[in-house]
Amino acid sequence: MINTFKFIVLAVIISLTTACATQSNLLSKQEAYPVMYDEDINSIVVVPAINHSTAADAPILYQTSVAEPLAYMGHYVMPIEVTTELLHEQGVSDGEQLVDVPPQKFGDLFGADAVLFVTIDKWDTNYYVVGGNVTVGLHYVLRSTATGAQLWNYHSEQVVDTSDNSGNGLLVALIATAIKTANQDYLPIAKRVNNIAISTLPYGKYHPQSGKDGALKVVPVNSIAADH
Amino acid sequence: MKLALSVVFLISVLSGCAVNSNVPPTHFYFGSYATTLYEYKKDPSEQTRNAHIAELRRIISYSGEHNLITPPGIHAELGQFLLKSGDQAAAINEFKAEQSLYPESEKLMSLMIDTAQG
Repeated sequence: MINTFKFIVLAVIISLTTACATQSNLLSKQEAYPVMYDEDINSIVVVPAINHSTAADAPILYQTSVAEPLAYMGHYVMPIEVTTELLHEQGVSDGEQLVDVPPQKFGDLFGADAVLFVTIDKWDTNYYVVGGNVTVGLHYVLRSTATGAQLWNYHSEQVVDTSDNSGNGLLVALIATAIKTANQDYLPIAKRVNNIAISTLPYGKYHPQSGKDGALKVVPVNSIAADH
Repeated sequence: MKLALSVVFLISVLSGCAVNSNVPPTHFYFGSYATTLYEYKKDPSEQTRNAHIAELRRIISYSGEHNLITPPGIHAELGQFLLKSGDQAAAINEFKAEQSLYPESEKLMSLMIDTAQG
């Protein structure tokens, strides 16, 4: 019983000291993204992602995960499969080709209020001697198609450990890790990165709290970058 | 020990970061949209394509039955699949459905309807 008690006390101390260590480093949405609150943003077009990872198929696979969280935040998301195909017909299949296109152009083409550029920094499978992991790192920039101004940005990265911890010896562990790492699907990790990032996006008109979320302190200071 | 574990769990939940529990209310139903689309993109085949089209249709009927608005883009995406398989009339119906649910899509859907009418 004394052991159990000690265990609880220890657990409480750990929980209290580790949880929300970054609480004081949180900005409100209004503080982090003031320009977005000045503009009436009702629709977002997501253009093909810029790929800085080593996985060639990352942008196409990533694209399947992003409409859902944006819609849950109350924004109209231009049908991504449709806009991607229209861009493809114009000879654009790689996000890198769009870097220098003025944001206004996407308003003319699709009638969208804002354009979301996603850069895939990491979409990697890593093996090391005694383990492995799968990492997805994304950088988001939302720009107004009216003014070209940056409305929202966020950087987020998630690592899923795929090491084998069964304790069956090094060789077995190496093989188990390799199988587990190779089969680890990127979709759940991409979804997790999206959820963390997009939960900081100011609500759009289809969200019941639209326009009332400015005071929410949910944006970690170290997750937003200077304009680039 | 069981009690200890549940206490620890409770404390972890209560002290968890606000940023992680900030999940907005769900007012759309996306079903397995991302999963079936991901499977189709990863391994494009007749089978994965049909599975995704079936999921789009299921999302539309589920939303109707539960008094939810069909999520953004679902009708438009179904229309695009129908257009590719040569069913212009059905495609146009889907593009019009997207347009009437979401006025933001007016410009894009007009373009798609024009394309479908050839």
